[in-house]
Amino acid sequence: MFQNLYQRSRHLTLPALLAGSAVWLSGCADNGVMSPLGPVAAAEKTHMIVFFLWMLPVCLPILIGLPWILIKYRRQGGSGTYRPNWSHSTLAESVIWGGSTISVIILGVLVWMNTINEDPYKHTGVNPIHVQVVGSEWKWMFIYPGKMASVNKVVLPQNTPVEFDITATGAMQSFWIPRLAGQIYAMPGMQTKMNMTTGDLAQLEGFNSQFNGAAFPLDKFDVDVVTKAQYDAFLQQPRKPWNELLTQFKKVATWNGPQIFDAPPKGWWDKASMNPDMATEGGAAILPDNAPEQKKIDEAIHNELHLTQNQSQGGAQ
Amino acid sequence: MSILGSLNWDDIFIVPFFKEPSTSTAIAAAAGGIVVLGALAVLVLLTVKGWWKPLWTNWITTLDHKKIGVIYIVLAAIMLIRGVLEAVVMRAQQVSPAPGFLSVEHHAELFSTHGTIMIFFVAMPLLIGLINVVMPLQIGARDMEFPFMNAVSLWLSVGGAALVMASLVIGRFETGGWTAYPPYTGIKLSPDEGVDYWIWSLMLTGIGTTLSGINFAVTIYKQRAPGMTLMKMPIFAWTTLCTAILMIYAMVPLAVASAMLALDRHAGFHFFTADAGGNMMNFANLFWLFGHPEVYILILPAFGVFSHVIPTFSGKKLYGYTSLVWATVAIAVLSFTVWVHHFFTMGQTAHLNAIFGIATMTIGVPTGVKVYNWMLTMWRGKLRFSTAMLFSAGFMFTFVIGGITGVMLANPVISFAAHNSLFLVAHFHNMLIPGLLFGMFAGINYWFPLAFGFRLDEKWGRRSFWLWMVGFYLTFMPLYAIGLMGAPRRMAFLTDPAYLPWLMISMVGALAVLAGLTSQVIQVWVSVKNRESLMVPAGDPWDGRGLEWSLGCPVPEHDFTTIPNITSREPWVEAKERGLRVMEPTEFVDIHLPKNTSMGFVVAMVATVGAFGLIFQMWWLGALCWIAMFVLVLIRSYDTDWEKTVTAEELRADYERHKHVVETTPKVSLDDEFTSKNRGLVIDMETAQ
Repeated sequence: MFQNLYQRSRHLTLPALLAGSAVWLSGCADNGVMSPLGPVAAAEKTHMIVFFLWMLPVCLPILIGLPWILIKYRRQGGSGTYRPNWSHSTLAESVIWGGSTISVIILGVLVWMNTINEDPYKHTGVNPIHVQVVGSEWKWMFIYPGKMASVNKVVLPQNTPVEFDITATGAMQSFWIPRLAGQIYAMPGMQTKMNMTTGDLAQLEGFNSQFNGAAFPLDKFDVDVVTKAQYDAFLQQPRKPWNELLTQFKKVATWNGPQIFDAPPKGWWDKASMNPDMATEGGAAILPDNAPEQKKIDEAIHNELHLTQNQSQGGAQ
Repeated sequence: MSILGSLNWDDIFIVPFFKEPSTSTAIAAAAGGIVVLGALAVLVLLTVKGWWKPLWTNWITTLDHKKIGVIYIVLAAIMLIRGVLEAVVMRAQQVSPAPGFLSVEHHAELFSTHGTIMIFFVAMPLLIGLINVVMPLQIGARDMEFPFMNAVSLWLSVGGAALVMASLVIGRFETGGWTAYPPYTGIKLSPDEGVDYWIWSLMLTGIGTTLSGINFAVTIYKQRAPGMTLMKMPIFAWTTLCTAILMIYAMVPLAVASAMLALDRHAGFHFFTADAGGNMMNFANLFWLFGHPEVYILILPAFGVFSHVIPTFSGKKLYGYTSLVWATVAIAVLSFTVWVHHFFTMGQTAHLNAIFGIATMTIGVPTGVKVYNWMLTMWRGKLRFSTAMLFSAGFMFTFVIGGITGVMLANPVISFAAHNSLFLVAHFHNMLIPGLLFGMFAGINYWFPLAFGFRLDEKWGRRSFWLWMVGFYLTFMPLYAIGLMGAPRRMAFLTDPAYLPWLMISMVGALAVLAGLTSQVIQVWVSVKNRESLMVPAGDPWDGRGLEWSLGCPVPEHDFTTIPNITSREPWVEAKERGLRVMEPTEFVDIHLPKNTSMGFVVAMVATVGAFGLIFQMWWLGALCWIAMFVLVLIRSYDTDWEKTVTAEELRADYERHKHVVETTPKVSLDDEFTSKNRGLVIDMETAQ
């Protein structure tokens, strides 16, 4: 019985698979690269589809030919001829080696062009807005140099090029706003860059994708893409003093809601990125004083989940 | 510092549960309990059945390459059960309402041990075990070049695995994933013993693997039967050779990186810290300088298996031998040139990323060639769907899908959007489950009679194949989908309701995989129970093609009574075509085999105790054990009485005995291949006369 079952189901494997891939390629995505908002994420999506399609000439013959061979040449009931000593064909060799080499050459050229065009270090337009970023244990600091600093919230004007300068304290993290652009590591003692252009008005979520401990699921931030006027208003908001941010930042493991502060003194971010343990302003290192208590983290996770639940319920009404 | 180092009561597995009862700590306590009870059950069983002595004399002290291989595979099987159970728990965690029943850190411990176990204590022992059993038989050797070193390698791997198991009972494992990137794994952010468990268990098994690599390579260089030139070697021996070379070169960066991490953690060094001139990017570099060749260490032996299973069950010569050899060599060489693709997102220049992206895709050429060669081997064949063949066909189909996503990820721009996501997780499982596990399952089903003398049950074998196959698709296709929807990997809970249906499917898939694994346990159980009707004393139960099938099953300790002269790639096929059913003997001479010794086991166990001491900062114990280890090796080196002789007469008698078995066994047609009529010597009645 089981043999029958497997022979029957073999015919179904390919259609099932194609149907499956059609479903996931059709894009039911919400916070992923398959529903891009900015041109950088859009390019990533295009490359994904282009590469997938370019792989088909090499792979489809296998995906179709293999089941066909398995059926045709099966010992019992198959209809194929039997050539037990056939083991070489110069033509087949040339087609196989040649064909796959040509595909890889084409893909190689595409990779070279894509990688250089979409270099995250390359500005995506003239005079991008500069935002300095510090990733820390389960919170993100954003600095608009000379203007203001915010925690877990970055506000950007629509359709505008932006350059993020990124560093971290503590563990390595990965800075990622999937609907605007790809990710790049945020590392203590290092500086990395991520360029992107914002798209239409949107409220997005950015996050850290590199596991970094007990509150990793909370390690995310809001990204608001707003009109130019709203952006200007955001920068004019009343704020708290910078020192308060610094004290708080090292004290708490997870941040309760976004908050707005004065910008740090000029050059602070550079110092912080060069030496995260020593980056001080009035003697205050930005690394946390003590390991956070598990209880507080559990509480924070609980609060966060409660909050999102309420939000989604509110949205449904 | 106390004599017990950093060890204290809280490290005992049930204490955290009594201090802070929760589902998470209860699961941890239960897991520790299973390990303790399982160990006790084994001890009781051994005592009640009186198996201690046979276990010691036949297995623990053995230097026979086949038995060593079997122990490797048993180790892998035990660890695979743990790895799959962990996977099921993680899938269950993600479908339960957030935040699930595991704490974030407990979940992190699970994905860290899952990865570490699957790579180092399932995949590696499986392939090293299979190579041990089969490779010497394929090249006409009587043993490995260094049989004692082989035992040391084995028991070091067992010691490493034992440490990972011990972490369930005493203390805990690390939480930074199987890659254990600092600074997260530095002493500041991971102050407990978890990372030290990772470092020292990998150090033990890593030394074992390096020694195995040396052993395999030298065996192939020096022990081939006369006339077997490199280009007459079976493909499995070729893939073993390439894997061995990769092992020798690739395990070193891992040992170096983990030793540097250990120095950072406990000796105040600053290799990978953010301050004092350290840089964590060096760790990523060193780790993947090991990690990428490792991928091909894992996959090449499986490619070798397919190159034997497919011709045998197609009743046909392997298509494109030369092509396959060069493809294997090309993959091995290229595997050292692509490691940067594991961290395209680390901020290096676009040109560097592009070069490594192109190098990565270049590996697609020889790999694609191989798949086509296997297809052309099946073409114009007569295919028989044994369990081994099903796993091979399932591999080819599934592996190609993984290849598509692999080439996608080789584009740095796509990597920016898919790195650290479940898309990536789906991709590498898509390569390793068919590419490694299916290959090893095929190889075990195919070569099992060589080691034990009987075939494995086909019915349960086929069931296990379908469950693994369906389970794989159900588990990982949804992860591709939600990966593209932005779901990061290693997340303890995913709150987006859009993910839930996909995670549910994935959960069902994980259960199917678990059922597949269960079928395999049943398969072994049933086969052992019915071994009388599955015996193939005459050998060659599948109308095989390689030299290994010219031997009776199970293969005797001395392997070959006389070493054959090799004149072609398929000497056994040619012998059969000439109407022979036993290889013609060459010259009977006295041979020397290594005597059993407990020293390999003792050396490795001393090293394991020493590693345990280092994990809990009992420096005195670590130092003592590692000194003892070198002294023991020295003592062994001065031992002159280590060989036993098998005389020419004994070998001749064994040859006659085997010949008699063969001559009294009736020929079996392919129709009866999977029935109890198969006592060995299966032939194709339609073509053979």
